[in-house]
Amino acid sequence: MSIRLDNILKVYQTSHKKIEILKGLSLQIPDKSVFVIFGPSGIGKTTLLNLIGGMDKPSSGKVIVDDADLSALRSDELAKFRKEKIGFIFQEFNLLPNLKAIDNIALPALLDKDMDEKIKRIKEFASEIGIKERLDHLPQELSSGERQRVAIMRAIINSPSIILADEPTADLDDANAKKIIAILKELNQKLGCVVIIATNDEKIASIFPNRYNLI
Amino acid sequence: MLIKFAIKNLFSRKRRSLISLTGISLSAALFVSTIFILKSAQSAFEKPIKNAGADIIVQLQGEPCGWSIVKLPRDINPIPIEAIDKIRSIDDVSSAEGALIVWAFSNPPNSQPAPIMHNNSQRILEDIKNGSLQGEPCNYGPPGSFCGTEGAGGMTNDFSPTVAVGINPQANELGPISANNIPNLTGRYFSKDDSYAAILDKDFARAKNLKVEDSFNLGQRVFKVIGTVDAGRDAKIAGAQAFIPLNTAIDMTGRGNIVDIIFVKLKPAANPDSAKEKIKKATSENATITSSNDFLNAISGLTNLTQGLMLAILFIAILFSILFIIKTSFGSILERSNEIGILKSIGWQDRQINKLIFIENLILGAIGGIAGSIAGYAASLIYKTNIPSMLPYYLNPYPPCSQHLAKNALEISIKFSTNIFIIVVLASISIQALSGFLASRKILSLTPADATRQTQ
Repeated sequence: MSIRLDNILKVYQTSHKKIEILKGLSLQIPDKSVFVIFGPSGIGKTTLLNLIGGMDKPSSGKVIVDDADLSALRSDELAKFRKEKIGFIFQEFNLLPNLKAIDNIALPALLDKDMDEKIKRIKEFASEIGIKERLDHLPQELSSGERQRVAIMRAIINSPSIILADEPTADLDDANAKKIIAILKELNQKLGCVVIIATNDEKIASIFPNRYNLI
Repeated sequence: MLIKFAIKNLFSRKRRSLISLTGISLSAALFVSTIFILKSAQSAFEKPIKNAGADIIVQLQGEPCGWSIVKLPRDINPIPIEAIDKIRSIDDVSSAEGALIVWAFSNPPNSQPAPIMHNNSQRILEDIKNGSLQGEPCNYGPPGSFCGTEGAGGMTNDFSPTVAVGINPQANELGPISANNIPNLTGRYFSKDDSYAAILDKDFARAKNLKVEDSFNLGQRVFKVIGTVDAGRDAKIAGAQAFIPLNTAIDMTGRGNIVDIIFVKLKPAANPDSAKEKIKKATSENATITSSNDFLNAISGLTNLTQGLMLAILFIAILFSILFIIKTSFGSILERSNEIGILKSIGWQDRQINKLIFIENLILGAIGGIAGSIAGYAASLIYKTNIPSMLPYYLNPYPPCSQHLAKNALEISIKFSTNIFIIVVLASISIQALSGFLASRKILSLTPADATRQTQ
């Protein structure tokens, strides 16, 4: 899975001013790696993940994943790309509060014919990461660590090629943070997927050899 | 699976779902109750005229006539019988038939023993005797005018008139009763040779203890009861206590060849408004011409202006209800932009999200439409029990002291209309689905990142 960003620029227009970020960024992410994007808050890490995941479009430049220029894809093609290739772990988990953990996890596969098979598989993984007993709970009934694990399970239910994790340890204590990082490493090895982690935590960033410092 | 998810979504957002349901239900209820009431009222107003086989009723009102033993009721004035032929000759008219409604007194005030009348009733009797009283007794007088009073020695003198209607025995279709329309007849109908024969209303016959073959006094003539009719409780035009042959009624009234009510049946393609104008010209410019459409004004006292105002208010109310539904729907969707953003992020296609929103709105529209229609139906039933409607007095002019009341009550019977129910439910679903579709378009046009950012 080749991921390449060429001369990216993203412009946000507020009511008062224009904000330009990721100016001229070019980047190649190695296949099957765990890749860290390191930088302080507000520098554009989430934007970068959004661009790689086809959830946003650059103002200029190209995002090329497996030889496909994401900027050139139509809305339905991008949705298909996100569904088949991307697993996104949001900074604030972004779980739907009205759905139980298992329903949140099943959401990306809800309309698939093999949904039951996927759910069966993901439940086995739930046992491995120790939240099987919590699957029937609503997100607000879970701890931050449990929510993060639910978010990870939702991200991998469709066996993506790229997992994008935005500040995956931000709200967690050290023990939980270590567990999450361990899970991400395991996924990288088990699924053979690219895991891209955006973080401002030097300790997390230093664990992995592949990193890009956003400044 | 999507349906299950949509239902789960609706249940989990109870407050928003309830607001939406309230908006849809109120709009549906408002529409249904108004339509049901208007349709039922129209049906009730049409019934008396339809029962008489007519489309239009012609009468002449004017100065109340003076007292006589057989007189025209209240302010009803005579129409020359030739007017019937004139009306029949009008292009728009299919057929016309006249009748003569009279009040027939049996005991004149100067009969012996002289009645002792209460209060001003005594004065009225004296005025009648000396001829100075011209019209007052024909109008609503104080209770007791010409009514049963205590006579000397505790005897009761009955001064209440019998309401009799002279009908053409040859008439087949038109009139309060006719050869082909005799409700629950016991005995026989008129033959062409009958003169002092009467068909009595069953309530009147019971009150007077009269049976078929009995004789009774009507306007100081002796009539033979040949039959009784039971017209039920429905309002009647020219409903009577006694039906007699038209020629006999004319003879008893002694005012020449007259009728005081004409039933007109129009041709199917006729324009009622233009027919009314022609009928006026054929009878009198002062004629009171009533069609079922005029009843709404006559009965409820509504003028065209107020009816127009009502419709305008209804239109505005429905418009506001629709805007409320659209606003609620927009609010609901915009509130969910984060959720929609998440669905887009995890790979849902726009059309799948649209489908989800459509199903949710379909469920809301259907439940709201059904609940609103039922509520509207219930509201119209409450209206029915609280708003009495009566025929205008001149169409069935009983005296105020009559032994039993005129059958004037128009029963507004609210009938549930499946067609209206289906239309309202479909309209609720369509409006809700359309507003949901329009609202979701705005969010779906955003990138997943922008959509999740909207409420973050």
